[in-house]
This record gives sequence, structure tokens and C-alpha cells, in this order.
Amino acid sequence: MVREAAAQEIAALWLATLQRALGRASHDVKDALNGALVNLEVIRGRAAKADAPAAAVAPFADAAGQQLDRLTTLVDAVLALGRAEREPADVVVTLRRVATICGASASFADAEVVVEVGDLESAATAVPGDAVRLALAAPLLDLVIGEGRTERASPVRCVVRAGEGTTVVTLAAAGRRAAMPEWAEQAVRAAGVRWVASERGDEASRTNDLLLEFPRA
Amino acid sequence: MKQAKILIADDEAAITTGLSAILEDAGFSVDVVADGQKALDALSAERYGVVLADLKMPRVDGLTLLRELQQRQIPTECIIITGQATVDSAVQAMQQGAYDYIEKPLNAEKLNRLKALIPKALDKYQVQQTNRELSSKLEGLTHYGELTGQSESMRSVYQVIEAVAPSTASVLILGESGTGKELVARALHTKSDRAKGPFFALNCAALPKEILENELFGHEKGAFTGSTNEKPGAFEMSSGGTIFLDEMAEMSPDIQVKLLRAIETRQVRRLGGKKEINVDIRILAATNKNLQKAIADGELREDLYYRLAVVEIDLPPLRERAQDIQLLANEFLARFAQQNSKTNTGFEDAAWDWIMAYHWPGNVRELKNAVERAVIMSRGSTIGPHDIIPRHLRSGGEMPAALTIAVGATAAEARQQLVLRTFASTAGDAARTGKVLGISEQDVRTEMLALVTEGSAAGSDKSTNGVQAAQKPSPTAVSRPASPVKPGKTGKRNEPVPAPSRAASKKSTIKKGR
Repeated sequence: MVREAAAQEIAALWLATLQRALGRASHDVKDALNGALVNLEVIRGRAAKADAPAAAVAPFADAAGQQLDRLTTLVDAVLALGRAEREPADVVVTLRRVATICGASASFADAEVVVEVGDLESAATAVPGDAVRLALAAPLLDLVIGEGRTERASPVRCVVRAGEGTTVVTLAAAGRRAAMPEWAEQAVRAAGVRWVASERGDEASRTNDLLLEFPRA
Repeated sequence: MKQAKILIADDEAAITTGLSAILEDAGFSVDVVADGQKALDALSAERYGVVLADLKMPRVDGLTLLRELQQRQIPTECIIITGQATVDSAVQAMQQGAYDYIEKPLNAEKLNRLKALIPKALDKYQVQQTNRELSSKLEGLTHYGELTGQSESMRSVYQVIEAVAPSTASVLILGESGTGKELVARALHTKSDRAKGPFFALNCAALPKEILENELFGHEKGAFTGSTNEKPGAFEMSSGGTIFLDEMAEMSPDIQVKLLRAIETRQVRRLGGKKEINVDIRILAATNKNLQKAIADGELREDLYYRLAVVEIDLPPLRERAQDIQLLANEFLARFAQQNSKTNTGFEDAAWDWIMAYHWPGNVRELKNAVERAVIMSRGSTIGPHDIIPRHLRSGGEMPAALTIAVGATAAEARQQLVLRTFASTAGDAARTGKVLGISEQDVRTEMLALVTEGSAAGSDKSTNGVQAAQKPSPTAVSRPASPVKPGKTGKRNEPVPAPSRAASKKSTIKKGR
């Protein structure tokens, strides 16, 4: 009963986080769609002219293709995160999807969320899927969105490595403080995720790295 | 006419590239920037008829860009492209002056709508641009530097300034007190190659002889008791620029000698100094004195006069450029209403009557002060005669009103002038005018009405038809007989008289126009 209530709480918190991320990412989805449509319109307009050289449409076909790829990645991530997570959850797979949506939620177009996995083959974890999503998305979204920040900033780095019986994910961005939001702390901890914040840098550029530990399955 | 360019402001390169290609294919000339700040920079450097701005951009977003465009009064039409299709953002954009907004994603239908919107926005921009240019040209007809006036005499002054300013010739500016001699001097300086150099104005009448000499030429340390430091004079300080000597005819003869020498040699020697200091100056001088008389009386050296008066600019008194009175009064009203946070919108007809009939001995300065005082004292939205007429003139007896009737003037013209001046001196009180002159109130109205009618038909030449004021010539109301003289209620002091005819009434309306 208690476990079920905890799972429901995590599911509710995760859905709220996803909703927040998608609300902000919708602009990126529309931009990708817009980019594809506008470039396709150029192609349509130019292709209608009999003497239009291929060079006149090729760059726009490339641009439309890139925007459709971007759109596909976003839609894939949204659809996957909208479904129930397959158990045991994979930390790396979940991280990639969460990073895609959080990156699209940034206040500026070329915000970067970089995922570095290294040689890690598998990162299956004993932590329930929604808890993994919540533990990754809650701090990452705060880090990306910031507090009303509209200036371009340093990329957010998500580095995954194998620990002792755990998979460790480090979230960091130069000059910013990564932290588990208070409202998520209890639920994430109860689900078996551990984290520690380590401070580095001088007074002017204080940076918090957040190390998240997910026990292996 | 060359079509204005379009500026696209969006941080999505894929969109800006495609959109600019579509618009270029449609025949528009397009530039692209990646954020709102760069859009502002581009708009400050170049004119764009239309800006297509994304609502969400780094640094300066679409709404902030709109606000900045309004605040900086950058002429352009802004179409907001929004991915956040909320009613709020669209309403906000329109409230902040957007021409229109269009919602992402831009599919074929929306792109067609955009392509249809742009020519309309460009048309609007073009019309407003033409209006701005016309306003600017109109401004050029009525203003020159800080000078205001659209009369023929003032336009002649502008032409002389324009022609003389680039030269190094000394200019002597003549005119009564308050006509704007210093403004002419400033315009000459501003329009000259010396504009970046200093402009030094010195009133020769305001300073005792010793101080004036010290101000002009400076002194060395120990030159006189108490001179503990050396001090450069106006000639040195204005080197590379222009020195303006106001009331130059008031200078003592020995300073005139030194001034003449300085003008001839372009060198000055400080008081107590031994060395000559080279100065590169242009000299402008002004006076309200009768210079021929001053030369004849030995008050002004003739050789200095010829040195200073290489070119003479004669500023007409305000009463001789009646068509400028309305322009100036309206400008002063707008300026002082704003300065004093008042909502004055114009002058009442009776106030106009007095303004146009009064001879303004203190010229523009007096008019300016009268309007400022009226704005401060007024309680309603319009300026009435009680606001504008100075208290000391309300009694009517103190207005200098002696007339010289030239030989050859008809009795009717003399009578007309007498009625006009008396009418003005009673602040437009027809009953009192009649009483003072010993004629009926109806006769006063008839004379004034005849003046209006004749003036409308004959124009301003009527003014000098053999009748002139002795000391303070006052042909103002005759040269611009637009005063709506109105019969009606009688006996009340300073009461505006209702319009006698449609013609007169129409005149009055025109006068209030701004």
C-alpha cells in the first residue's frame, strides 16, 4: 500500500515535470515544424519554375530535412516519455530522452544539453522508471531554464559513468548550480536514488556539480 | 520610388534562410538578424519598411523590440511571428504597435497571408515616411535653427544666413531688442565650418568698461591689483570658433580701438601682457542702436563699423511680420503648456484679437513672456484675453499710441488707424474705444469691420499706406487684419465681440489652427 502510494506520488511529480518541460518545448517543436515548412515552401515555389537549377533548391531541401530530423527526435522523445517506462529502466536511454526535451525547453534556440556516455554498455537500474525520469529531469530542467534567463549560456553537460554497483550521472554547467529541487527530494530518495552536490570554482564562477547514483538492476 | 527593405529578426537560422528566400523570390529586399538587439542595431543604422520579428528571441525579445521601436521612434512596421499563440501575447503585440501578428508554423496558407500583409505594411510605412518628409519640409519653411518665422522678411533672413554662414565674413546683426539677434548669431555659427569650435557670446552693454576689456582680452598675473592668476579673454577662448558681441555700439571708444586692432591683425594682447597672441576667430556683432547716428555722434568708430558690417542682417520687429505672430504664439503655447503640465489647447478669439492688434514693442521676447505668463495664469483649457493681456495694459491708457500721419494719407486711413490703435489699447473693448475717441461703439465696429474686409481683399500692403506710428510703429493689425471684430453685447469691459460676418468668423477659426 505504502509502496503504491509512493509510486503514485512519483508518477504525479513526473507528469508535472513533463508537462512543464513540454510547455516550454512546444516553441521548439513549432520552430522545427516551421523551419521544415518554410524551406519546403521555397522548394515548391522554385521547383514550379521550369528553368530552376537544382542548386537553387538543394540547400533548402537540406534545411528542411534537418528540421524534420530535429522534429522527429523531439517527437520520439515526447512519445517515449509519455509512455510507461519498460522495467528495468535504462539510465542512459532515459537520460537521452529527458535531455532532448529539456534542451528544447531552453529560452534560446541554440541551448545545448550534451550527453557523454563513454564506453558504458548498459545502465539498467533497480530504480522504477518514473523515479529515474523524475530524478534526471527535475534538476536538469532547472539547470537549463534557469531563472528567467534569456542569454545564451554554457552548455549543460550530462556525463554518465559506471560506479561501484551503480550508474553515476553528473549534471554540470559552468557558472551555474545544479541541485535536486526540494519538492522532488523525498520522492527521489525514497525510490533509491542517491545524490551529492559538489562545489567548485572561485567566488565569481561558483559551480555546483550534481552527482546522481542509480543502483544497478 | 525604391521599395523599402524588410528585416527578419529570428534566432532560428533554418527559418530566416527559408523565409528570406521566399520573400526575395517574391521581389522583396531582405536582411536577416539573429536577435532583437541586433534588429535594433540594424534599424538604427538603416531604414526598414517592415520588421518580421519572432516573439521569442534571445537578449531582446519581440515585445521588447516593439517597445524599443516605439520609444526610440524608429519608423517601421512590425509584424510579430509568434509560436506562442496565446491571445495575451497577440493582444500585447498589437497594443504595443505591431502592424499584425502571424502564428507559427508558417504553412503555405500563412505564408501567403504574410506575403499579402507585407505590401500593405510597406504601403503604410511609405505613406508615413512621405508624411514625415513633408512635415520636415514644412518645418523648414517655418523654422531655421532656433529661429521661427514664415514671413517673407524672415525667409530672406534665413537665405542670408545660409549664404553668409560658410564664409569667414564678419556679420553685423541689427534689430530691436527681443527680435532674436543672438539666435541669428548662433545659426551663423552652427551653419559654419566653425560649428565644432566654441561660440562665445558677450553683452558689451552689461559690463563696465574695465570688466569688458578684461573679458575680451584677458589679463596676465599681476596686471592689476587683485589679479592673482592669468586669465585668457573671450578672443582666446573662442579661437577656432565664433565670438558674438551683443550691443557692440555700447563699447567705449578705447575698447573700440583695441577691438579694431584685434580684428585687423587677428592678434590680441592681454592686459598687462607683452606678447601678442594669435587668435582664429570669426566676429559677429549686434546692436539695436541707430548706427548712422552713433557714428555721426562719435559714439561708434566708422572704421570699426565697416570692419564689423561686412554683411548686415536686419531683423524685422515682430509687428512687421504679423503672419509669424500666430506661429510663434502657438509654439510658445505648446512649449509652456508642456513645461508647466498644463492642457492649454489654444487661444480664445478675443485673446487672438489682442495678440494680433498689439504692437509688441518687446518683440518675440515679449510675446514669449506673455504666453508663458498666460499659460501659468490660465485656469481653463484655452487662453483668454485676461490671461494674455499684461495687467499694466488692461487700463488701456499706457499703450504707446502716438501716430504719425504721413502727408498724402487720406482722412479715412488716418481715422482707421486711430480706431485700430485705440481698440488695441483698450484690449479689444469696442465700447471703451468709442468712448475714448468720442464716436459711437457702432462706428468702432464699422471701422474695424472695414479693416478686416479691406485687409482680406488687399493683403498686407495696406499697412504702410501713409500711416505710421511715431515711436512704435504699429501696422500689425493692418498688415494682417485677421482680427475678427464682432458686434454684439456692449458695455462690458474687455468683452469679446461676436463675429459680424461669416468671413470674419472664418478668419478667426484659421488663426486658431495649429
